[in-house]
Amino acid sequence: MTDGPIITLLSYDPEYDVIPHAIFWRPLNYFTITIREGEDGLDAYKGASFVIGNEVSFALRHYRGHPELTVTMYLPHTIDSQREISDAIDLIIRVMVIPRTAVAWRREQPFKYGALEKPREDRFREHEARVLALKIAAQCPNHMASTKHLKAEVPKYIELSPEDLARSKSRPNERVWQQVMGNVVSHQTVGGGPFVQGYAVRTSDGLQVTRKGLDYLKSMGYFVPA
Amino acid sequence: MPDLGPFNRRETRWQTPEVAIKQVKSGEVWGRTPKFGMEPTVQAYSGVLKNCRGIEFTTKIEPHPMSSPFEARWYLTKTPGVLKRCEDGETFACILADVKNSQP
Repeated sequence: MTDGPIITLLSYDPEYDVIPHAIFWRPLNYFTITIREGEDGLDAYKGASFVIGNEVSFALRHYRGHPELTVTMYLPHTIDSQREISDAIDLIIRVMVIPRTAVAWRREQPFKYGALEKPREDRFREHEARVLALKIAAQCPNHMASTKHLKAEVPKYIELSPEDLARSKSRPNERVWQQVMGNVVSHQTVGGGPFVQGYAVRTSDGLQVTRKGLDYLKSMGYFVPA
Repeated sequence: MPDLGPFNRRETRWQTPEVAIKQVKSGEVWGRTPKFGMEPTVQAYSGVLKNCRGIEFTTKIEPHPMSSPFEARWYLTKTPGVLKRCEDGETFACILADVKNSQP
């Protein structure tokens, strides 16, 4: 478990101007189950707001016109020094356990309007699959999901790369990404895996998230309603 | 200064067909103060308008640096070249733009 800063999901939209400071190659539902709808001078959006340790408030939003399977992170306009912005982005990435390769853009990086290319190295890897499996199962009745269901849900959370979509060499009837998710359940004794960590227990056809697993998800801002 | 863009605004309750006609005719895109916003701001998506109604435009006014690859913003007092417009007692930010109407 983590002893890091506590992240809280806010039940209201920010009451201050917000500035876009980072974009991630993951959809909003990768980060939260609780999603609000809103509208402002740009357009309609879906979003969620968080605060980390009573210090860093931020919002995640996906406007109608943003590319699918992306989310933009907004900070209050009062955070305006390069150092503060960079520190806040680092903190959010760390607390929310966002893979480095999923960072599409962050404030200190130059950019061209309308142009962001997903890097090939942003692949679906087992360390991310372990967390995603918990997130998917946590939404299911009794926080229990079959391996088949876990695999079926993956494309809703990540745009799979050509390497992910390639045929698996060891399991030719599967794609690489399917094997990666399958490994989460089948590799029961792997040190960083959800079973050894106590975040899940094995079921006959998949896994069930434990209380410790739900607390682990909560520590990254992924709150599962009781 | 070359034209920047394209940028686009989708049809919304504010970006109406009537507003689009005015924008084409005047060569201006206006923005009001967003809810909880600092000041009047023109907001737009970056890139072409894809499979939906709205306007697409280019402008010679550089967006404010606190924009993003997906969104451009022009703040009234913080972005060089942004003009002030007033209508019915409300103040707007305004940029000169070449506007294409795709919400007839």
